[in-house]
Amino acid sequence: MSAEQVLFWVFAVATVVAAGGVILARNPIACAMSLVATFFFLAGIYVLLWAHTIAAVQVLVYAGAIMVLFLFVLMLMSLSDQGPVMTFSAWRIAGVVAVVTVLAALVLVFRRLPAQESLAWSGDAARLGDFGTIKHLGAVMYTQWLFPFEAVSLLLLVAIVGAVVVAKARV
Amino acid sequence: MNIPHLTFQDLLPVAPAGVLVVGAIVLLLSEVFLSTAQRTYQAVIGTLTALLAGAVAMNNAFEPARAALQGYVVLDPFSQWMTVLVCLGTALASLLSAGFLNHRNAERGEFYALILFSAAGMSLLAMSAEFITLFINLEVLSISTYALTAFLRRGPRPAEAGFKYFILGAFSASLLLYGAALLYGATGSTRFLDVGLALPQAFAQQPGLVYAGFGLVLAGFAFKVAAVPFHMWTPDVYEGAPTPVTALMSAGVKAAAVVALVRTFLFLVKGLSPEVPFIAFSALALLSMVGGNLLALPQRNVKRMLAYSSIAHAGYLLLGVAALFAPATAKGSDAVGLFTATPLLGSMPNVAASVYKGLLFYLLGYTVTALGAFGTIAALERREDETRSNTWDLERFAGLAQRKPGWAAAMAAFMLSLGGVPPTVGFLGKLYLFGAAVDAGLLGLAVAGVLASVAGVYVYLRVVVYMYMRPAPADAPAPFRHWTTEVALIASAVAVVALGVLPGPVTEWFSRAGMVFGS
Amino acid sequence: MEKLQLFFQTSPVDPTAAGQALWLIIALPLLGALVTGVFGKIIGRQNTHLVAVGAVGGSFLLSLLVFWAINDFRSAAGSPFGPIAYAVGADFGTWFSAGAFKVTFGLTADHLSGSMLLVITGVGFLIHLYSTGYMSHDAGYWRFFSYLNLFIAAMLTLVLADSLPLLFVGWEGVGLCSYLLIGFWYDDAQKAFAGRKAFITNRIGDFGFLIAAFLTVLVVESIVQLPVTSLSRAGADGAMVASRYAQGVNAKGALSMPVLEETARILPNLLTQDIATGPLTGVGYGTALTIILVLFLLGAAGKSAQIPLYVWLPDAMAGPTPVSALIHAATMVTSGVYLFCRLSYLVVLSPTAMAVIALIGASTALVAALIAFTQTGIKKVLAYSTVSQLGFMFLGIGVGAFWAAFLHVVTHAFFKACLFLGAGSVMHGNGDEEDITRLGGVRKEMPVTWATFLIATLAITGIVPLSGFFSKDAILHAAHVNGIAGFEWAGHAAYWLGVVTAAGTSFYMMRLYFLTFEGPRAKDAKVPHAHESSPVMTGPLVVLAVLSVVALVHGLPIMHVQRGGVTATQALMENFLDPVFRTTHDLVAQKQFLVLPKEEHGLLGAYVQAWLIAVVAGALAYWVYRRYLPVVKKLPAALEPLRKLSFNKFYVDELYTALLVRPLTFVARAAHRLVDAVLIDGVMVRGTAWVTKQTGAVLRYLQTGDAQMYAAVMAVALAGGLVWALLRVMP
Repeated sequence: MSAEQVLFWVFAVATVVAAGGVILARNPIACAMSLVATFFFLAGIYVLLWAHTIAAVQVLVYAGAIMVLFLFVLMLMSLSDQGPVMTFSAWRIAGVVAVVTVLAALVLVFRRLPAQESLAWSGDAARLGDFGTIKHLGAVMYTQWLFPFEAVSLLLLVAIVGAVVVAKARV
Repeated sequence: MNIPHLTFQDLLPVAPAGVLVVGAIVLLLSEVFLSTAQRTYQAVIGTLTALLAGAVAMNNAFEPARAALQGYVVLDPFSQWMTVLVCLGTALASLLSAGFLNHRNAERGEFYALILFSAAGMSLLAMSAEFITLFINLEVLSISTYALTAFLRRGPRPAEAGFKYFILGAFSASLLLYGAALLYGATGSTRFLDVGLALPQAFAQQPGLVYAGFGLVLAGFAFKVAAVPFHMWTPDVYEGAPTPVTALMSAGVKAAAVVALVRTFLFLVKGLSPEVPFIAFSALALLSMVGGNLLALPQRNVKRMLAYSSIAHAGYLLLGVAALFAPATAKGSDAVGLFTATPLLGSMPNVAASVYKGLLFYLLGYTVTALGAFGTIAALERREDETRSNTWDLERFAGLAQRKPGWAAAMAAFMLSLGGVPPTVGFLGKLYLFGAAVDAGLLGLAVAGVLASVAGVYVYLRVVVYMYMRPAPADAPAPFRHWTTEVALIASAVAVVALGVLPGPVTEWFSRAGMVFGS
Repeated sequence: MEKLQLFFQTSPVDPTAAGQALWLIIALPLLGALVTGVFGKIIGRQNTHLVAVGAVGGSFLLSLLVFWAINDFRSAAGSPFGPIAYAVGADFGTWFSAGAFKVTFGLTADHLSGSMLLVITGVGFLIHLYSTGYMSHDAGYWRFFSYLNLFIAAMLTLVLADSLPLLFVGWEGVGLCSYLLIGFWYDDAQKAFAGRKAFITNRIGDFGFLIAAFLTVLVVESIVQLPVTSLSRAGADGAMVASRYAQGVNAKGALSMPVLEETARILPNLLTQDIATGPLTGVGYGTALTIILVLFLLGAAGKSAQIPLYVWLPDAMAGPTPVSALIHAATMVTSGVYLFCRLSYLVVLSPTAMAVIALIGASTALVAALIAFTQTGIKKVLAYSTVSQLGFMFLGIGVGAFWAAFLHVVTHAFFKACLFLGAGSVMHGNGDEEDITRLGGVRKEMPVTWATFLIATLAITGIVPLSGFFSKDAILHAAHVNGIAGFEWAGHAAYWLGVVTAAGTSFYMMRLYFLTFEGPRAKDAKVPHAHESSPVMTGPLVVLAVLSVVALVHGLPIMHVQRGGVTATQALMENFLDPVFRTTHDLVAQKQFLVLPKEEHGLLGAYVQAWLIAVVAGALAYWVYRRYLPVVKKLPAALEPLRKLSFNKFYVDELYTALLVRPLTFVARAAHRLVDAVLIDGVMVRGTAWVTKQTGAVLRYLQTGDAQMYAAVMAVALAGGLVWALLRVMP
């Protein structure tokens, strides 16, 4: 097991555990903090994938800006410490079973994937070149992925307008 | 570096969406600079923008099919005609909104801007030819409809509907995204064209991975189309949303999603064994046709009933899609069954062109009919009703024929069209779509669909019976009058009947839609 | 003369533009119907009149322009088989298509439909004008004018259509309007019943029309499949004919007029062959054609009141009188004749069908005339006289005198509309008295009505030199000289029946006239003194009376044409309709199914003979009703049973009731008890209710409003689908 593999497992398990905390914790603040942890560990996985820029953005934007906003909102709403109690109905249990089934099926599929030598991870910095750097990302984004990039700007505009509409005084 | 060389020709397909976005921005700014009390002009701007965009799209619809903008979008008659339909629906919806919002003192530029944004999203979605683009455009469409659903924030209903729609929509979008990621893993590309090229080999090596991606993407689309069993959100959201928005959702969102679904799966089925996609679509179609109509039966709430009816109509559309993906190896000697194709003539004819024509015509018919039907409902709603439970009860329609014969006649035309009774456009749409399905040999499914739609006729005729044969309750409110509402209703009623009687020119245009990029 | 001709042959509007604008002629009254129907109550009586009359008037002006355009020698309507001279038209694209079968929305006006245009809009305009006076006290005026405008629109669709399906739209449209207008006063049960009777009788005819159209499609499609060699004909190569034909069918649809005309050109060589493909395999083309024509005859018999379906027309007089004049005398009832003139090229290919048509027409003419002898209602007499005159027209078609039949359509439209409107005027001025035995002496009190009524009566009886004389004489002349190959006896029989009927016509029309207008006023009259109607009502009467005189021009043999080196003399109408019947003439010359006289007969003898018949029969009527009956008061006992038979219309209604209505009612009752009560009410309705209840119960459980549960359902569906798909590829 190489160091990278060790790190991957650490980040991966921690991400899943923290994500579980988001769903299962009853205190909203605890949920939000679990989410911060999830974002951090996810950023670690991005680093392992050599996606430095995205990892940095993940920490800055999500773990930083967005989470702070979340916490502000939660505090302003002054929710009680005790969130709703989880109940179990037949359909929820069925839902859990179905999700687990899907997960199991996917695991089964992934386990059967043929090993491809070309995909083996080597961490060879020379071969990667400037992959994952801002320079590379910018070049790709503004040339190869121009249209999706512009479409995202439309998406952001729509999201802003939508948020304002939903948030502003009653009409 | 690989600087893209974009020409004017590349921008043609997205021009209608561009017009819509510009119109939306104008509307947003109008709210800043021109905040008068009387805001009907905003609806007019919205309508004119939509009509202009529709005209641009119609101009595009006669271009030959090709990929544009580095292959992220395609320009073909199918998507451009769909854009025309969406623009038509948007124009009608913004006209209907003017009266509706005016009555509630809630006219805002953002509302019309969001309507135009969602139309732009629909248009772009229909022409997306790459997974990331598809996802982004799907989100443009979704986020604007989430916000529109929760726009009127009086009483618990709109907020609840908006929230449910948002949560479930995010769930389904994540399924779609995950499926796309799996397919990227299997084929190494997100462009449909390359995915289609790489799929046969990928399927031979890793069939499980391909099927998993296929299933997840299909689930994401099925949610947007509101196909049973991914339909559960529909009645709640449709009921809670402002009625003109419901109209736009039932017609426009569905149309865009169906077109995007057809485009995506045209590439995703390459190399797969044909029965799996065929059976998947057939099952969705069957469940939606039967489920939608049966679920509508017990409803006394007309708005909710129309929500279920829209599920059934999604089923008819999926029947056409299933016909498109019927295995080409089917023979006349095969046994007839619900999930089998048994062509009438010995071998499988090429039904693609008639399916595209049928889909477009059906969507056209459904757009004008649904807009009209929801528009009539909107006109009968009262502002004080928001907290009442019987707002949309059938009783509201009792005796409408005596009180408002014109409105009743229009509503009767819409109901007959939804039920597929001649001489309305709904009948011809069903005729074309079921005809294509029968040509493709989907005999069992077509029979099931016809039987289900007969059950549906009961639902629609009940409204007509209430309008014409029940006395009006003493406190029956008159529909509010606003010229925009009346213009929209007259336009849809005329279209429903005129297209039902004179479909010729339109079907001739639509028959060009057989030229779908990549088919 | 030359200059005048040139003037009429140079249209001020471009013929192509006129063709493109044909739809406007239909659209105007349709719009009028919409406006008066929807807003009539709001905009008031005067405005309704303005809109309704204006719409038809505008339509009339446009028709005049179109008529001018089709006289233009440059006018030519496009068709897949080369341009049609002296016609304008436009194809507005596909109306609908189902597989290979296609119907285009095309309108064409040629000399035949152009004349009909003028009659419909012209007479229609006058009758609209008259109605503004006649219906001046009716509360449902807006409904009335809406229906009337709708009728005009439908009738115009019927004549302008260049395909049978579109013609059928007009056909059904006029039927619907007729039903609505007969039952216009629907609170009177008897009138509503008359409307229903007309509707159902017409349904039987329409059934024949539809079956005939379906069979025609099969025949056309079988011809498309034929080997090219069998399509060769003189001057045309088989391969070229076949390819042009296939293209034509493809472009215009199997039921369009140009395709049918081309079919008629192809058929002569095929008549003895059997159909080789399609459901009609094994049936001869000739047999199929005869069956088709007889079925079309059934359709036409329904609309044009021929045996056996004429029974509805007399009852249709329950409607307002202007309706009787417009729909049940001048226009709608002649649509059967119009249909056969349109399809004349097919008619001349089947001698059997011709003989059947001639005999049906002649017997209808006679039977209706016999019934008219004893009727006492003024409109009833006119109704039977209409049936009788329609019989004459069919007689003309049967013996191949299409132009004469059509001339009779035109002249009959004028004088019968005049008679009906005159009758309406009489009723209007006499307290709605309809019984002619309780009228009398109206002449002095209603001078305008009297004068116009007299002129129209003389016209219908066939007194020289009024228009009716020329048209009727042309038909009888043709019946006399033309022979139907193999059925010469039918031609002779039809001729003699026609002559007897002509005498009868003169008798019953003069009886009507004498009883109504002459002599002393009846003792039991409703009002002691009649009053003349308003100018808005008498105006149209005068115009129509003038027209029923002037229309004689059409029947004058004043046109000289060069044909095969011989100068032939033709009546004006014959010459005018020549372009329409060109194919028909060619086919007659080719197949000789219709034997035309070799040399021209002198017309003078025939004229004198016809005139004598009319005068003698009229004089007899004068003697009987003015001299004999007023003195004797009673018919001789020997004649009484005959009178009773005629008065009770030969008990045909009773016969139909016993033979058809009762058994059908019985079957319907039985079906109601069995199917409706048990199957539908018991199983289906209650079954549906049960399903509704059950689904409702299940739904209340499923549709909880819980978003997480919705997600769970989606997840379950996804898991099921994925597992199913994966199991197929991963053992």
